[in-house]
Amino acid sequence: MLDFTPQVGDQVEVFGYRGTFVIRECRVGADGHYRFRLDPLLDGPMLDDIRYPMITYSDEEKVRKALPQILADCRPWPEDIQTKASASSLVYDIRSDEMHDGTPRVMVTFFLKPDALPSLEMAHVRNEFYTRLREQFRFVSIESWLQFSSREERGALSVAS
Amino acid sequence: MSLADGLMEHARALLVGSPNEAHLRRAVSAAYYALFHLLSSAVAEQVSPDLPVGLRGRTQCALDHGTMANAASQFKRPGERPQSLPKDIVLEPISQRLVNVAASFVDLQEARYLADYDALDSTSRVSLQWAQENVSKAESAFRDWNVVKRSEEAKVFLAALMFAQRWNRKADSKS
Repeated sequence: MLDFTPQVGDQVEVFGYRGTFVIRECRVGADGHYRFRLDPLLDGPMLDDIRYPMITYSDEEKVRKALPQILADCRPWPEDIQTKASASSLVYDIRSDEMHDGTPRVMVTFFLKPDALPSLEMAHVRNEFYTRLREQFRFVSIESWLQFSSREERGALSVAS
Repeated sequence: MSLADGLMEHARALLVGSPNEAHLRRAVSAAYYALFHLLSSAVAEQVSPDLPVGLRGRTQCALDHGTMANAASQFKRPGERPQSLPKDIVLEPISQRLVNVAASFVDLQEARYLADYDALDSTSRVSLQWAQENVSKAESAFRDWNVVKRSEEAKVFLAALMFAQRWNRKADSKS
């Protein structure tokens, strides 16, 4: 089961306020419920003593919180995707946008190792990996379309020509 | 060879050797249309007789890309029923294979849109790896479809590709 316990650093939306807020402090009040101190991600007021029912996670943030746990259950990883220095996590980027028809989408992009050679065989391996990820994400309640892909190393993108 | 199989072969052939950007884009577009024709011909076969000549073809032409993608996106969670599915349609929880087919269709349609219309590649995605992933995705969808195509869930899925937007019309008109 995925752990969705609120944590410092999580980005949340707050009922009655515009924009995204970052959890700066998370404590359990005398009533046994979570209380939060929140800073705006961009512009907006600082908020304190916000109760748990007031906050919601965007689809993007839900994916951000769930993905490390899901990845841990989806080993082995394709060998051509970059891992962080500790090799305990993959290098990826998560962002939300809209598809061409306006459908909201959360896109998870993995970054390939600099020496990864393009091949249909490895593309099959990665697609099977995405299938396993998608299967695990059935436990995460998101409305957006969830899409996985890979691309060349950051800063080394080029179009074959 | 069916049109769907021919397009799939065409997509693979475009990626052999040192493909240029036009080849990469056309390969992704062909991969999407391969899956589109695979599913749309299956829809036509299910809902329309082969005689008189031309009727099934016209049925296939009546399918709409956006409607199909919208319907396919409802089949995104294995082990569940699509939320928009009317309750009187009896359906076991959908399988991972059918989810793969549906998800591949949605993903490939989006990729095809980029391939055919985003001439400036505004998201810097066009690459050999990108094209291979999408062709691979279509191939995988073909394999999964061959496994599930005679199942009850596949019949519901095909009907949804054509009718899903109108399935709840009666309920809507009452509200």
